[in-house]
Amino acid sequence: MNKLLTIKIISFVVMAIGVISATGWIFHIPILSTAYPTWMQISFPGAISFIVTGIIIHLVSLSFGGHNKYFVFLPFVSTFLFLFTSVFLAASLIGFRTGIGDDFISSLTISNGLAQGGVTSAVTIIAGLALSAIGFLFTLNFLKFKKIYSVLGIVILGIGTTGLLGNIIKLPFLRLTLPGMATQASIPTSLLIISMGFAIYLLSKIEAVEPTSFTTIKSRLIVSVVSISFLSTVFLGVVNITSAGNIIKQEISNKIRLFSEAKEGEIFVYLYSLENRISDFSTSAIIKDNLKKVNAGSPQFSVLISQHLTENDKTLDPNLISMFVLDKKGITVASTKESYLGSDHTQDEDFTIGSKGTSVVNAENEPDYAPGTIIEVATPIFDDKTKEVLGVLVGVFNTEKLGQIMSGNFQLQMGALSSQNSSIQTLRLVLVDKNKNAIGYGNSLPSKNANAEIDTIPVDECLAHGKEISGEYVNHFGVKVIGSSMCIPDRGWTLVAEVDSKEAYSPLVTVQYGLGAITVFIAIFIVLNAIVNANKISDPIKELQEGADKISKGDFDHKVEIKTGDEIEQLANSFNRMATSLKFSREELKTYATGLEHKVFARTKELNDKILDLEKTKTSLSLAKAEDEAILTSIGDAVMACDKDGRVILFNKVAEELTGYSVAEAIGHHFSKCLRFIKESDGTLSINFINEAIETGKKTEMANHCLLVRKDQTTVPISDSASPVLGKIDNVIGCVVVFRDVTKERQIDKVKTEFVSLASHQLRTPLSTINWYVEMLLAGDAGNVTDDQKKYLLEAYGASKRMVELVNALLNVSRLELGSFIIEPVPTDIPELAKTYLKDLEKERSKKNITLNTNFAPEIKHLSVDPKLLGIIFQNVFSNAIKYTPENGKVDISIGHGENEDVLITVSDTGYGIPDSQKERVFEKLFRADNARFHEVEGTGLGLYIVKLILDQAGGKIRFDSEENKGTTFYISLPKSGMAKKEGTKSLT
Amino acid sequence: MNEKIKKILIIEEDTTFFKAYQEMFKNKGINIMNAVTGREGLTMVKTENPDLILLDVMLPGGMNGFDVLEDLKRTEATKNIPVIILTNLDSETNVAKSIGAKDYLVKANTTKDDLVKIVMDCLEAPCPEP
Repeated sequence: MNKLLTIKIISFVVMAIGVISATGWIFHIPILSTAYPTWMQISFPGAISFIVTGIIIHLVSLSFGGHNKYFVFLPFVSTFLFLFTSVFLAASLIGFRTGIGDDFISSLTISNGLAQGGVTSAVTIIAGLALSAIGFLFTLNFLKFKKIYSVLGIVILGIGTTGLLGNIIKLPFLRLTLPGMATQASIPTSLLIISMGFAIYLLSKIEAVEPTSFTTIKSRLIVSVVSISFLSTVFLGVVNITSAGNIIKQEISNKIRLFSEAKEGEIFVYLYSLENRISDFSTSAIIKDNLKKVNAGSPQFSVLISQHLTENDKTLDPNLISMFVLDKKGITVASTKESYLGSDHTQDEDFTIGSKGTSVVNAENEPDYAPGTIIEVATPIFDDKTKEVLGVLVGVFNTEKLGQIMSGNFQLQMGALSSQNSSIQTLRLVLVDKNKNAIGYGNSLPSKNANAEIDTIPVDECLAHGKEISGEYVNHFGVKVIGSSMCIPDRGWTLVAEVDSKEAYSPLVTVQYGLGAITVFIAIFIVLNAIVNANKISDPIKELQEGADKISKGDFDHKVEIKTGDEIEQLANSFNRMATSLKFSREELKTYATGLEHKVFARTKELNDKILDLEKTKTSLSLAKAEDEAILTSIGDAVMACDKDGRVILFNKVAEELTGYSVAEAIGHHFSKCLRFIKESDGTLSINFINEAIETGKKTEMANHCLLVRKDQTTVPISDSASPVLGKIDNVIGCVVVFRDVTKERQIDKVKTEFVSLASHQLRTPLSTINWYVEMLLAGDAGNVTDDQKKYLLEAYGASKRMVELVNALLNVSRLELGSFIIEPVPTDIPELAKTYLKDLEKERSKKNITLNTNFAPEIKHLSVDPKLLGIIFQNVFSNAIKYTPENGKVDISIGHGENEDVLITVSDTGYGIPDSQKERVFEKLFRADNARFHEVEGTGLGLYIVKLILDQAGGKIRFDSEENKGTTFYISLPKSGMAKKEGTKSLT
Repeated sequence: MNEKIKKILIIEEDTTFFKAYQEMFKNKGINIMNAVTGREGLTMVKTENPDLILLDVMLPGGMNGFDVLEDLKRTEATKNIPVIILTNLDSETNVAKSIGAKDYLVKANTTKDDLVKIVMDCLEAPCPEP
């Protein structure tokens, strides 16, 4: 259940019960104040406390729920509760009676001695103080004291529980009573306190809404001053008035009591005198003797007694109405009135009490007299000798003199100057017999119903409990009086002295009105003062606030005029200074802003210029881009560009046509989707060269003889290359792949290859026949030849040989250029291979007397190379060295290791060298250096070109150092892994 | 010298070469025969059962030297006859050897003496593997 709702319900219940109970007290409705039984009763202050407490909790819960406009009332009610409960605390501790609520307590409840309407319980006091503390704490800070709420809630809960337990299990120390005036709490009180404690505990568990409402300083000041000063003053006034009233009431009660005590004495004295008189008279011999005779059975003697009684009747006492004598059986035997004779008094007090001793007795069975108008005095008549009771003498007196004594008229008659009613007009005394008849009534004022039955609280209390009381009640006239009762238990009489409350309280009312008036004046003064002071404080603040508003609206010349001579005036001065400096700052700002505007204008212009420049650049860039795009589109080759993740970003028209994929299908996808290159030989995918280009940042080429698998799964032979696209800092940002359909080229190549083969065949056929026949001629197969003939034949043979070599060289060049030659590496003994080719040159070397030095590292025996290709290299390089070295020169050949464990072949000669100007053309096709041509006629100009082509394809390198007329050194290096294998169709010759 | 005259079948279109071979091998006690086309060559192999075949690659009649070589190697009776390719087409060495040629000689690059020596060596059975 919602905690806030629970708290509100509890606060309402507590308030409602408080209101019901207080209503009960004020309007004397016992069922509401639950006057009976006592354990159900909520005291009047308790009821008031509950109402106020309910309001406090309700206000707090409203504030917690966000409705904090009621918040301002909280100090007011908290102060009230605090003052209220502390008055009771003080009253309990010091022991005076506050009188609060006394006015509301009916006489009935007082006389019963049950109600303690004006007294609150200790439990209520403690709980009330704790609750007012909560109210104050809450006023101080909305949320800060949550923990304290929880503690106080538990404390209040504990107090209530203790009180409840004390009530239920009747343990005195649990009842939390205070000696004096704080009583135990009733069960409903305890229960209400418990529920309040619970509500406060719940409060501490609520996530409160932050206060948002606006409260003016003025209203806060007024509320706080009013709640503290005004309420305190009113309280003090009320307590003064009620306690003063209480004291005066006490005083009056005491006086009346003293008075009734004194009157009781007087009455006793008078009655005693009556008793003495009757007693003395009973000793008369006439009575005794004649009564003895009557008792002895001679009734005629009673006449003598009656005669005697009548004779003395008038002289004995002026108030004596009649006398009669009862015999020992209780029968009237003699009387001043004949009508009395023979009446039976056996059961009457005059006989029962009178036979035992002289006493005033209640008149019974006296039909001649109205009740309460007579007093009977009975006395026993003794036999002088035997001391035996012979009978009883009864004197009947009227109450005239008793009334005079009681009213004080007697003392006036006796010469006194004043009596009780001179000072207190309504003071009256009533003597009531056991039948509640007023036997004596004293009041100078005329009284109505003087002889009515007196059935008032004091009489009832006396008759029922023998208890003398003082207090306020309603007398038998229905008038509210303050009275005091004296009980005369022997006779069952009650003496009541009472004064009309109206008269008794007249001085008190004056005092109370005076005090009330003073309180009201002070309160009005406080309220006015609060308003004036609040205005005095809040008006300058308001003015300051209005000034601030004006300044915020731009009115910097506004000056706040406050002459309070205090901190606020200082604040106003500071405020004015601030406004002035603000004004200056603003002007400075304005100046600055103007400057700034100019600057901004200038900068904006600059920016605009730059933007224009940029636009121009952009236009030219987009033109360039369009151009690039046009180039890319119209380029004859297919172009695909991708980013570094391989996503296609460009795909030109030729690429579309070639692959069968559209631009839309390609862009944004990985290039492998539309570029499916496979090896012609085994159909495996061959796109790694693109990844390699991206990874290494180097241009790569696809393996030879690749096919592109088109979208429709047909294939096209293609050739292509992948170039990485490098960013500004040489980082790879993508890759461009250029590829083209080589179907036609293939066809051309094929035709070309076939042509070359055919041409070489056709060229060689006659040459080989010539060679063989010349060889046979030289060998003498056709008979001996002369030296001259031999010389000619050799020339012809040499020329023919060169022709063959030229054809071979051309064939090789053709194959190398077509790339269709095979590299087939096998482990080869390199030095051995070199020796084979050197042997072929041996003849020429020795002819020119060239010194040959070889230095072959023995371990280089199993390098993986194509022996045929390396052979071509050796043949060309070695023969060049011999050929272009003059007679008696020197050639050094070494095979060893170079850098990175590469195999390094060095061929060094002391030949003609290469002119500096022609060094860079050495490896060109058909190039021969000028000096070489000069010195040596023979030479195709293809040798080094072939060597270079082979090494480029096989992964080797060649370079040279040369100085004209000094010599040349060629350096040929092969990787330590040997030659790279290469697929192809033709091997070189 | 030898008890039996060796027979060499030369399958060669160009009769100029056949004449040259005849000159080269005269007085060597060798019987040289010539076939001009591949088919003729194959027929002669069956009839003459030569000890060595010198085979050119470029042959007329739709069957080139490799076709002939393959046929020879397929046939049980002829597969053991050594065949030397002797041509002016080059760079087919590997193909030839893979089919089963003993050697692949380019005419223009082979001297008469070398050729005679290779042929004579091959006739000395068994023909050495190159």
